[in-house]
Parts: sequence; C-alpha cells; structure tokens
Amino acid sequence: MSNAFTVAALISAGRHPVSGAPRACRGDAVAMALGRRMAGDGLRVVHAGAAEEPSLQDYLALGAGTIEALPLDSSGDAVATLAAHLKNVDIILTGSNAESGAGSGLLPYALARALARPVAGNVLDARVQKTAGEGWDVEIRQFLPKGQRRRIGCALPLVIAVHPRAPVQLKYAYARRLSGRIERFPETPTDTCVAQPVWTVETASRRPIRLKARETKSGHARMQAAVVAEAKGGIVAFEGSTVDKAQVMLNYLREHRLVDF
Amino acid sequence: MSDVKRINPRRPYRMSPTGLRRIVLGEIASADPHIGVTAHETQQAKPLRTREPAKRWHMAVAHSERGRLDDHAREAIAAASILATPDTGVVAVILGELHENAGELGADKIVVVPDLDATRFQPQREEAVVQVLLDEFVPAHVFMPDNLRGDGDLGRRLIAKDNAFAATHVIELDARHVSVSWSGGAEIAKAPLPRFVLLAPGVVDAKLPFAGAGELLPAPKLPGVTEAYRDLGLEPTEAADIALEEADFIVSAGNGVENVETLGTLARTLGAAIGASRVAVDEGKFSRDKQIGASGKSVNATTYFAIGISGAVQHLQGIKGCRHVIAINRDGGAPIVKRADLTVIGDAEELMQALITRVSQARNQGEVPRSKDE
Ligand SMILES: Cc1cc2nc3c(=O)[nH]c(=O)nc-3n(C[C@H](O)[C@H](O)[C@H](O)COP(=O)(O)OP(=O)(O)OC[C@H]3O[C@@H](n4cnc5c(N)ncnc54)[C@H](O)[C@@H]3O)c2cc1C
Repeated sequence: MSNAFTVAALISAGRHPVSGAPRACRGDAVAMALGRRMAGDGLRVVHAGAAEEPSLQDYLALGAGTIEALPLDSSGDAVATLAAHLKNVDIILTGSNAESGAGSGLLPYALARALARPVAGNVLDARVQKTAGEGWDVEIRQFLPKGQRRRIGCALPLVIAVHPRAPVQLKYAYARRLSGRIERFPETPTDTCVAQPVWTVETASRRPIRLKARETKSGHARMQAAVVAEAKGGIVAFEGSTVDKAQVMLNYLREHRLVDF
Repeated sequence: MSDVKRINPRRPYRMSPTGLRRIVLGEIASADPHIGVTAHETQQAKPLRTREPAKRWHMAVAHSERGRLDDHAREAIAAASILATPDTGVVAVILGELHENAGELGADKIVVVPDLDATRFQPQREEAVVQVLLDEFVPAHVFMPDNLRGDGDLGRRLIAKDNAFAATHVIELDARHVSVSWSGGAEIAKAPLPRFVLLAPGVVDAKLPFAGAGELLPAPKLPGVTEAYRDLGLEPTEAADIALEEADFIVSAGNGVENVETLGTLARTLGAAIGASRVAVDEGKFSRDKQIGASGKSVNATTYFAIGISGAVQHLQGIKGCRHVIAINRDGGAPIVKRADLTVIGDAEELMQALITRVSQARNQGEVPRSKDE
C-alpha cells in the first residue's frame, strides 16, 4: 500500500503491574495495531528511550517490523526528542497511558502542543479519506463512557491517543520477533528546559486517604452522627402496597439523580 | 442525701435503626422517644465557609450532565473548597447547563457556560473560555475530575498549554501534596501540590459541613474560535446493546425472576442493560455473557437493580464497583439486603410490573420530580 500520508506509532516500555516484568504496554500495542491497519507496511514504529529496552522484543513479536529507537539526552525530555523526530509525520498514534511511571496520559497532548497540531483522545478507530481537494481527512470514532461513541472529523496532521479498547487483534509471533530490527538513532540534543516533576516513589503499603473537610462539632453532634452511622446497610421497605413500593424505588432513583425523569 | 450524682433511669432515649436504645447526652426530651433518628433529623442551612474577602482563588472546572453535576464533579469542587484557606475563594466553572445550586457544593463564585456541554466536542472553544477565566482569576490551583466525559481531555489540553508540572489520576491529596499510583499501582508517588490537579473518582468526600457563597457570575463571551475538529455527533446507542462492563444502569435477574419478558420490559423502560446471576444463566434464561460475579463479569454501574438475587459472595464480588444497589427480594434476611442501599421486600414479578407502570407514567407525563425538601 503506498500512501500519500505517513503514520507513526509511539511505543513505550511496558511493565507488568505486579511482577514488574518487561512486556509490551497493551495500550501502545493496540495503537501500533491500529496504525498497521491504517498504513500497512508504511507504519513507522518509534520508541523514545534506550534501544536495549527488553520490552521492545515483545513489540517486534507483535509485528512492529523495524523499531526506531531514539536515545534521550540528559534532560530525559521525550516530548522534545519525539517532536523533533516526527515533524513530518501526518498521523502520530500513541497509547492512552504508559504502564511504567506515572502513566499520566499527558504525552500525546504535550506532543501535539509542541508540534502545534490537533489531538484527539480515547480513539477507537480512525479512517483516512481523500478530501475533495488534494488533502487528506481522518474520521475518528471516540470512546465515551456509558456505551456512547462519538464521531469526529479532522484534517491532517494530528496526534491520536488510542483507547485500549480499540477493536484490533494482537497476534504474537516469535518468528517476527527474530526477524524484526531495532534501528538506533544518534542522540539529538534538545534545547528545552521544562522543570521535570519531582516524584518520590515508595511502595504502596497503605490505602490512599480520602480528603475530608475538617469538622468542629460538639460532642453531642458527634454522638448523634455516630448513632446515625450505626445503620449498616441501606433502607429496607417492608410496608405498603406494590404501588407504594414502586414509588419508593422511583423516589430513590430521583433523589440520587439516577434517572432524568 | 449522698452527693452521688443521680441519673434518671427513664431519661429520654432514641431507638437507633438497628433497634438499640441510645441515650444522647444533651438531647432535649422529645415527646415520642421511639421516633427514629433519621426521620427526626432536620436539614439546617450550612454555615458559610469563610466571610473574608477573597485574596486568592482556587478553581474547579467540570462538565455538567443534563443540568446536574455528577459525584466526580462535586468532588472536584469539594477539593477546591476544602483546601482553600479563609482568604481564598472558590470559583466553579461549569461547562453545560446547571440547574442546581453549586454554592452548596462549596463554590463561592459560579460561572456557567451552557453552550459548552459535554455532548458536543469543541475542545478549542472550551480551552479558550477557560483560559479567559484563568487569566481573570489567576487561580493558585485548578481541580478537575479526570474522566472520559471531556474533563480529562480538557484538563490535559490546559496542562499542555501551561507547560508546567501537573498531576493526573490523583488518588490522594492534601494541602501540600498529591499522590498518584506508579507503575500500575504497585507503587505510589508523591509530589508537591501542582497548579493543575486532575482527580481520580472517589478521592474526596464531597459532603461538606459548610457552603460557599454561590454567587452566579455572567458567562464570558464565547470567543470566535475556528475548531480544527468537526463534531460529527454521537452515534445512536441502544441501552440493551451496551456491553455490561460499560453500562451505567443494569437490571439484573436471579433465581427469583420467573418471567424474563417482564425483566426485558423493565430494562427497556429504565434504559438499562440486562445482567443475571449464575443460577439464572445456568437455567438458560440468559446467555453466558450476561453473568455477573466471580465467574462472570465485574461491572461498575452507577445503578444496579438486583431482582430476585440472594447476594451470594460470588455474585457480590462482581458488583463491588456499583454505587447504588437496589434489591427486590421476597426474603428480608437475604445477604443482598446488607449490600443494597434500598431493598424492597415483595414478589419480584408484581414489583417489576408496578415499577414498569409507574416509570412509564412518570416518563410520559414528564412529571416534575418532587425535590427532597418539599
Ligand atoms: C466457584 C463458584 C463461582 C460462582 N460464581 C458466580 C458468579 O459469577 N455469579 C453468580 O451470580 N453466582 C456465582 N456462583 C453461585 C452463587 O454462589 C449463588 O449460587 C448464586 O449467585 C445464587 O443466585 P441467585 O441469587 O439468583 O439464586 P438464589 O440463591 O436461589 O436466590 C434467589 C433469591 O430470590 C428470592 N426470590 C425467590 N423468588 C422470588 C420472588 N418470586 N420474588 C422475589 N424474590 C424471590 C429469594 O428470596 C432468594 O433470595 C458461584 C458459585 C461458585 C461455587
């Protein structure tokens, strides 16, 4: 398939959440598979980080073909490195959240900003069509909660963050892992100096504490609250006719804004 | 007379909902000591959080849904007001219509932009409008719900523009710090409270002992932005076709449901997806993909109707993430009663029929729902 537009998928080092074993990050693998469907063999697969990263082998097995590995400079700013490398790519596909580190889901937005192009998040599917003129246009199907889906049209170039539920098939083949290649690029110095966050990481030994408003209540009020809080479980409606009970249920639904009538 | 303090053995008491006798010190004797506490409590107007003029601002930004704010959005406003010092004001920016009082949720000033509701996709306009307000108030911190309804997207756009350190998926916060889960949840990472904070759901207790001033400000003019995106609209969806894992409203049947037709009608009337317990699936009433529980699916619906389901642990495991559980059961001692927020005792078939009738009535007549304090 020869394309007049170019597509690149970004892949990150995945880690199993419990064992920490290196693996392909599922969200990125899904983005890569979607890119394969859009661009066929023309898809470029790019990793910002060390070429020695063990999880890259998994991506090769999933059909990456050739992975372009861009070493990061001392600032470790993946966005600037990627922006410089992908300036001329029309469609950049990323996963929604990385598996290692914070997984903040900010990269596609920061990258789009750096390249001054639009970005669409939670994308399930994207199809590129030729417009009436010379250009290309992409139609996106976006995931929304509660089973809703939205369609969005956008001109190229753009950045697409793929939702992990995108309907693609991932096939692992050991032969592809052996035949795939990792292409090393030289380090490109970037001139950004964004203050990197200072996260202090510790093992999660406790549950997070909920933020609560501090209350200064009298002993009396606290005792009363404790008496009320004793009621474990919810309300039980024994009495009344079935019509009354139906009304009780409807009232509950309305009171908690669970229905819109 | 000895000086031992005498206690009146018949001093006023209350019956707690579990049937225990409770003496609350300082209680003024009520005429009827048997009146339940819950029925007795009167809602008083909450005191204002602060009376000082605002020198600095906290901002909360969220989309409304059908004129109301969901729990997640309320939590963002609550976080902004809990973390505010007395000389800090709270601005709530609501995108979409709002038919409720955000002052009670803790906001001192409210900006409602009805044209930017979540059903439409216009991120660049939203970004521009919020930017106008950010420039006007220069809030020290901005709190937003990190959801897929548009707030997570808008928040990330603003963060990218701000180009400073920010935190998303925040699972814990206080006046100085935020924590996020690290590497898939095995670890937790802490950092100083940044300017933009996108909150995971359930991180803040939205119940506040105070209220905000709740002053409604005029909406800023919509800037003339040409969107790079063309919104082609929402796809029509049928509630019954929604995958159970995604459904927000589930009607679920157990062994106590004889008539599957009635259940289907109820689900359609309420606009709900259909689930089932293992017994109901084993009997062939439902297909295997409808099974909810340990050996079936785990669901995260906001509303879960358990009809004729006893509530075995294997079933309860699958509905851990459901916020409101309503049970219909013949047996007041079934384990589901402990889990359910509302249990209605009675025959499943009769109650389903009654509910179908009542809900269709309410829908067709477009009744104005009675509010709680009427
Ligand atoms: C390894 C294992 C895995 C399992 N996994 C699952 C699972 O994934 N999901 C699951 O659901 N179960 C699972 N189970 C089965 C589970 O233990 C229970 O047997 C099952 O959930 C019970 O289903 P039920 O509540 O529909 O039926 P029952 O226990 O028979 O309860 C029926 C309820 O309906 C009420 N009732 C009866 N007639 C009426 C009526 N006319 N009107 C109103 N109420 C009525 C009764 O009072 C009763 O409370 C598992 C069990 C095992 C051992």
